[in-house]
Amino acid sequence: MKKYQLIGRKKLFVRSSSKSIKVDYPPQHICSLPLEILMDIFEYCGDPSVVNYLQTMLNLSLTCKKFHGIINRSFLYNHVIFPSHRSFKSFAVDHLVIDNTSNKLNFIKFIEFINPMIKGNSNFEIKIAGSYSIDAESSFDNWNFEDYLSCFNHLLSHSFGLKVLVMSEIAPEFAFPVDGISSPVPTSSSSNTTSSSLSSFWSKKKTIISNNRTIEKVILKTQSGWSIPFKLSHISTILVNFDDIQELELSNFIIDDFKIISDLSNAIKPINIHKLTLNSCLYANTFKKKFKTKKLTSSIMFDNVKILQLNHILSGNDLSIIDFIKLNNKLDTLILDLNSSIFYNPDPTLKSKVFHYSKYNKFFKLLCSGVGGYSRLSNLTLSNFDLVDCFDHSNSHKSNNQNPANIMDDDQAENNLESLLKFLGYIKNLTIILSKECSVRKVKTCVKCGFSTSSTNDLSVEDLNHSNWSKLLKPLITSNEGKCIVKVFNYKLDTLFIRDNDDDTI
Amino acid sequence: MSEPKVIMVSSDEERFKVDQVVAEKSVTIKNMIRDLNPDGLTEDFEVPVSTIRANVLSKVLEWCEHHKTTVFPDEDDEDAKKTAPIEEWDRTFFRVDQEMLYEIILAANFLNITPLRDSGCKIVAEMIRGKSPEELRKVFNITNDFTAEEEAAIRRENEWAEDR
Repeated sequence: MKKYQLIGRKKLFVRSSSKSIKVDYPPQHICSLPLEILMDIFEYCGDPSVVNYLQTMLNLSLTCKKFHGIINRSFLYNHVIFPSHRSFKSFAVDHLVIDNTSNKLNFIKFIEFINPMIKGNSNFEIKIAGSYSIDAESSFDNWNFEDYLSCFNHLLSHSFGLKVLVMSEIAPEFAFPVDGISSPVPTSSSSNTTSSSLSSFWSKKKTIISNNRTIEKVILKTQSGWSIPFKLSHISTILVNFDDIQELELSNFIIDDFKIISDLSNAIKPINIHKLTLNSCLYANTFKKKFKTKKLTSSIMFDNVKILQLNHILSGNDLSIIDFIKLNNKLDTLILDLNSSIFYNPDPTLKSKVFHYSKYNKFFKLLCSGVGGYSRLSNLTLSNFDLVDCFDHSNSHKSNNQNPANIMDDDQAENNLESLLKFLGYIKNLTIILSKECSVRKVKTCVKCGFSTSSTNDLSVEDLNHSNWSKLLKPLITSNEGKCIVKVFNYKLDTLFIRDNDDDTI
Repeated sequence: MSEPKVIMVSSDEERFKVDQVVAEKSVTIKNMIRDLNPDGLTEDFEVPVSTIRANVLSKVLEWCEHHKTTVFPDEDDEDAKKTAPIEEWDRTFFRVDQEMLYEIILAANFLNITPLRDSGCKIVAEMIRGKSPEELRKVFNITNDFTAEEEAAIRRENEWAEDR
């Protein structure tokens, strides 16, 4: 006879005590409302970031067993935020007890640590006019970095439903130990008790968890006003617990190629980050400055990155991060935030923002060319693109008379939208996500070229049909023998236009 | 010739004759009319609503009539939905006993009238906000089905959330 066993923590299924009271409510009672309506009601109880909301949730959970179950599963333990070390300690005391881990960990899908503890901060020093590693709570005498780290590890290793981990307000001094990922460099003095304790944890963990674990998203944000060089120690403990990170999102970090490469020179564990999203991050090409003749190589950290997304790009130099990542020969998708100021002409005499065609047409021409290091790049997404605003009616008539096939051979690329669209047509898959502003713009049908931004016979961007879009994007879909698959979405990601490479309806 | 009407029949067989634009505040009825009359209504269209009592259906149609020209925030925009305040007229409309309030919400849910359902849920959320467990039990007539030990255990395990 086959025997089946429910896989899970025993305490997940708590039997009602024999003394428990069973209540039957009439159909027109709050407790008889369907779950989806109760969920809506509880969601309208306030903003999760507001303290009062949490109090309301706690009160609801104490009202009756039905509410207790819904609140625990979908609110209180679903989205956990630790605004201070005190709240994390308090959580750890009740839920992260060794050999008696709380079943509530099963409900956790999102965790945020605000201002994570830094080593040497355990006695709550206060730094004025520096990074604010402040937690002036005198009752915290027995809670040090090692405890914090141990609990953090325990939480990650037992939260099997965890999808998103956020660490915000990261101080410049913040660092996890790196053993388990990278062996210590012999000359380094970093070997200490924390490292050894984590090593023993890691060896123990390996025996407990044998399956590959994946986390959907890890988000790291620096303290406001700080740009911190990103290093292995920012994610090492996360990497110990998870074999795959589907997406790593960094905000306000400095990607220093030399630091990242040297950090992982002794890596003992492969790192699988599939998507890298950088928000307002700077790129420092220190490697080239240090080794003028040596060739930059791929970093183990980003060895498996297939998708790179750059948002709020701060300077032209930061686009060089594409070159750094593509050294892994796996990068096939690039997502660029076209609302970044670098793409627009900085000339102060211009009344409205004008796309910097003379500078970036060449960039996109190279990016989409499919030659050299860009041969693997097959998907390009331009997000936040105010395409209609860029469209210049007078240029359209001019460029319609040219043969688009000659454009890529033309050394003197034209500095206009039509040329940009023609260059973009050389990528295999192009996705354009229109900006929010673009969705409220109106365009008018012009018999000759398609569209202009003038006001008569207005047609909303959202109302353009397939034929309208085909006219508007003609330079794009006729270039490179029409091989480019084009998709246009509005900012809510509703499809506005799809043009397959076997679609002849131009 | 007058415009064809939509006749809604409640569970207790009461008939409500309303304009198509009013009935179509319900996405369920709108889809039903479109599916069964692709060329538009040419005669009165009868819809049995067998799960809704006449006094509730009457209230729901009163709301639909009042809001027949109102443009509501985008349904997919969760933030806009969440932050949209309850209109003063809706507040007055929802000055009913709790049983009726839940029945209106359930009817709005059945008929897929999202703005009405949202307003009703927000009214209930306002009744919940800022109340202690004892007050909540009293206001909503909920029986405390926890034992003293269970209640103490819950208070203990949730201490971290208060410790902010």
